[in-house]
Amino acid sequence: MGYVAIKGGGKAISGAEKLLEFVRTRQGQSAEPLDLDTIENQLYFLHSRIMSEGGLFHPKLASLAIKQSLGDTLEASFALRAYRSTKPRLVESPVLDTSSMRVIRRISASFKDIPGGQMLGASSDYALRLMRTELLDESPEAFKAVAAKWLDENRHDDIPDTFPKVLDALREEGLLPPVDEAAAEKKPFDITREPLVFPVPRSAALSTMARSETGSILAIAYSNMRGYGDIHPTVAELRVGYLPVMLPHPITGELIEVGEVLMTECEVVAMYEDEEDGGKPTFSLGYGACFGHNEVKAISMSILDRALQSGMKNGPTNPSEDPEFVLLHIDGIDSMGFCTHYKMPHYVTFQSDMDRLRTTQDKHDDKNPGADNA
Amino acid sequence: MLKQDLLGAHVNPIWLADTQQALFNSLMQALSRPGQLENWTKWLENSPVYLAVLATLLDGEVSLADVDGLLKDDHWPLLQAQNVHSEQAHYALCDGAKAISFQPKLGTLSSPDFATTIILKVSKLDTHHGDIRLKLTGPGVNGETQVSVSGIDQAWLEQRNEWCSAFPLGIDCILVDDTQIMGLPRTTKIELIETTQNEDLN
Amino acid sequence: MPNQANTSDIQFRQASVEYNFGFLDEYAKKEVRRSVLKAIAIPGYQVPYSSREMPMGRGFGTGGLQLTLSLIGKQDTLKVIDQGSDDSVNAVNLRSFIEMTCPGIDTTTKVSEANLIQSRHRIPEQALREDQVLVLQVPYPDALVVVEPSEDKRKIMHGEADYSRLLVKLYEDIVKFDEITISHRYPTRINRHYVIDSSPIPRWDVPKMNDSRALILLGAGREKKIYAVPPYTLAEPLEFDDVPFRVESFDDETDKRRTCHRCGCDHSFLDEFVDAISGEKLYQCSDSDYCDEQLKARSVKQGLEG
Repeated sequence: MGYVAIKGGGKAISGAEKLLEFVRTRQGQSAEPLDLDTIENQLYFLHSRIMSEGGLFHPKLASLAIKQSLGDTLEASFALRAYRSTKPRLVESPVLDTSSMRVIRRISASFKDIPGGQMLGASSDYALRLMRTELLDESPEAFKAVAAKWLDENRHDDIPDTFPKVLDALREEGLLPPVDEAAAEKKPFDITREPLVFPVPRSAALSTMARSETGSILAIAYSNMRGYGDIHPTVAELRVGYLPVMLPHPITGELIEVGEVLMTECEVVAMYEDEEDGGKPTFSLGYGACFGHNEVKAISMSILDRALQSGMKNGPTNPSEDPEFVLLHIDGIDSMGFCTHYKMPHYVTFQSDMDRLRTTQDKHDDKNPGADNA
Repeated sequence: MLKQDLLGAHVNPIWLADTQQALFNSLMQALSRPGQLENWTKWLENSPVYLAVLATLLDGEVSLADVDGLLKDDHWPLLQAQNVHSEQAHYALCDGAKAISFQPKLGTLSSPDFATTIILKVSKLDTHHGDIRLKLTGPGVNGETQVSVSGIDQAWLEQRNEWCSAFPLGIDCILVDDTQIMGLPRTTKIELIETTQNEDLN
Repeated sequence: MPNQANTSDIQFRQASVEYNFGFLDEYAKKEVRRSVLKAIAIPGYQVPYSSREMPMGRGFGTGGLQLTLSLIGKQDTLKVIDQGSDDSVNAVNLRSFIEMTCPGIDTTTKVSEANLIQSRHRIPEQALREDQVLVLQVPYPDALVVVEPSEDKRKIMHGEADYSRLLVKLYEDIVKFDEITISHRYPTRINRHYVIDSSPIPRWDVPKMNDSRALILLGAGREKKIYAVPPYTLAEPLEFDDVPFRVESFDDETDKRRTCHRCGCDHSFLDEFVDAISGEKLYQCSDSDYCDEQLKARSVKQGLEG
């Protein structure tokens, strides 16, 4: 039998939780609770962001996380991450080849004509950001009619599933370094099982960035874009799509497809560097990828990947090239947790602070008699 | 982690989470208080103590070297640890009666935790009687304490002191006999005060 | 006897069958446990570990919590303290989470009944015993962070026991303010090598770490570090020969030691607050269990006398 010790503080916590639950449901009698499918579909980008920052591809739980956290992105990612952290790592997939991605969008900024062609897909890039007042009072009928009409006018099988990768073409021309086969053989660093002890391998940096907070990674990447750094990126290819996930069969060991994950991947080509070994100069590369459809994050990540490679090789010359600075400050769960903790009681430490200040003030007064601060 | 066999069959307790929790706390006390003997008889059910130590600490994330071949083949899948060469291992299982055959990792100045932990099997740990009498001082010891160890090649102790001579580098040892364990972290100063190889063990 | 009230009032907190005993999976616990042994073997060294996300904020004690959850079993009795009190919201929150995920354990508010104590910002006033383990929650594990932001460089400084820059910082303090201004998190040297951040315990509690009978474990969840002060180990606050380390003073203007307005204790760390009605400044023991014990002892004594 477990005995428990509890007094008044528990009531306060319970009351606060109940009040928050009231806030979630206060819309009243006419309201319908948000259903998880609605969140996944109508809040598509938010949903993507939560899976990516939570570091877990679980569409249903990501929707639940958004629902229970009232749409707070940091809280929702946190709930998903905390769930993930209780799960043991049972099997590992091999390194997956993104050329097998079932693409729903792919663009290149480096060439007008890329093998397979540009595919704009669903994008708000060129949309006018005007308030769409017609949606203020959208009827369910009108809402359903839009999707029905689109499906009627578009034939899915017009579009190929996969596309060749732009980088392969550049590589064939000798503009890029050959694929580092040795690096591909190395076991990737698992940030959920090993602490980051610097210097860390590139795979640790990539996985830390893949689940970073979108705003945080954007801010640091932006500092590089603006001039605290000079990688001059060009987006060779940005693609969004569904990547088949292969896992070894538990008994035979044979690889089988267990499902697919929605991902965004970005490859940037950056300026070439002097080759110390006197080899032929080539462009350099930056890589970004994350769960869900989140282009700003994937691009930011690819820029920082390139910047960090510079920093790892030659020593950082600005914050965005410093692995410690970047990787320890982009995790939303860490940073929001610590920010929030300042709301907790600090009575004891503040008492101790006051003791120091008063002692210092007394000494100051002793030294400066008459110079009163009254 | 399995709490029981999928068919409900009896599982040796050293593989159960509850036992490992209790054994770990005992191990933690042992490392915290060098010279203090912890008796594990009630948890063992015929398993050797060293196997229980390994079961408590290891999983697929760490590596083990079975330097003197104390383990059986069917222990490995249960321990899940990567089987590596002794010089690379996070954990090394050794027979204290045998000569030292390898150089463990001592860690680095920045990361002294990248050092090997040695589980050293001896024939008997005792507070009073044994082949070699040791005086222990250092963190975890209230003043000084003494303990006797039997069935250990004296070279082990000398070599261990050598490995631990440049703190924070060093190795941490867990000594085990048939029923008990004792911790010897790298901080413990060991002094050999008596060697009587022929003394009656009981 | 431990208090028998239960937490069923907290409706939203029902343990899901999906979660393991102790919330963490057994692999996560093993990693924490391995790190604990390293921490004990290298006193004061910050052992990096992967630190799982917990369902409460980084900074709310997730490092201490992972330690507690990796150590605790059904036979254990736990006490959770925040700011010296078992009843502070964060202590209640952590305790209720541990109760929920560790069915079968006992919890208590009494130091004497607990064998595992998790605390934030305080070490209990009552001296601990050998059979007890104290787990402290740590926000900033590294005392060198005030002089060196790069962890890579700090690790080298720690390895070489190079604390010259920290001492210079203390010295500059003295030159500027005539006093070491570090109030809490006082840098403390363990076993004459590593200097630790003593977690945000006040200076008052630092001497309790020295030659402690209980094992003290410190966990920083966000910074992903575990370190330890083993029992019977030297823990010395940094100081200079002519400017000794000093604990907080609770003397009044006439140099008389203030006492707790509740229990009359004249030798505990006091919280100061202003009485809402009288506007008078009051002092009370920060350690609520100790205050209760002192109060009980006083009433027994008065009962005997009366």
